[in-house]
Amino acid sequence: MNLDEFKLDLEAKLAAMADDQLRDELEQVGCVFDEPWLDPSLDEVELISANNSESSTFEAADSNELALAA
Amino acid sequence: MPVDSPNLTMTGFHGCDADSVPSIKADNFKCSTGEHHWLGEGVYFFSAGISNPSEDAQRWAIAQSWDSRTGSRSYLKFSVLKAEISPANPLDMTNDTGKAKVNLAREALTRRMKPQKGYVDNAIIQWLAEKYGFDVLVQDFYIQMTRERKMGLRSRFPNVRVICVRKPHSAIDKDSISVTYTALIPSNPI
Repeated sequence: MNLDEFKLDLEAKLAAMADDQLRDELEQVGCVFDEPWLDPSLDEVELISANNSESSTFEAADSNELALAA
Repeated sequence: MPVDSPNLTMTGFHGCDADSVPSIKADNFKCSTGEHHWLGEGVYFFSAGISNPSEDAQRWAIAQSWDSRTGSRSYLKFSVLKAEISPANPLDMTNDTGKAKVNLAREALTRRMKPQKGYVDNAIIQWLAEKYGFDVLVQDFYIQMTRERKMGLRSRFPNVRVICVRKPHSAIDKDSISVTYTALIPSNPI
């Protein structure tokens, strides 16, 4: 499998997996998660993004820009 | 030595307690387990590429004989075993393609998680190997042998090439296993 094929396949595999399933699989191979699975800042980013979409045409390229905008 | 093509045989050297040799020759290698291993669960060998893999295996066996909990040697005689490794689906992380695959996986996985403690390399490589059925992993490492441990010498430049065989019974023909060196642990190893 070349690199391009691998990238597409990996993306497809991960897209098809729920967070819980991925977390379980990573824990089975030794990953330790002491705190909430998803980074809380990601939820915050989604919230900010939703608010912005209602009030303006603001679009941020990444979470840093969103955080700054908040 | 690129190993992305299947049906390629590699030669690996494994250093261990000499008392383990009869069972290895009779039943093949058994995977070591635990989260602390460099590339996850598997049997580890040194391979050509950076240094002399037979000497690496000797130095490793000597270094590993020291039990820091008891302050003594856990074995006094070591052996180096040579084996022919025939991977069906290897991941060679010594070349650009292999490195890029692991980097893609790390990027993708860490976007979905928040790891809390130290390195996640071990979990990522094991997840990747299981998802894609990689039976052999090859990677360059810097490993502290006796001298480096005594000096506390740390480095980012690799000094050995390591092969991790995840499925020894399919990748290693036990008839290919031979002892190349046996000796007593030196009284003052370097």
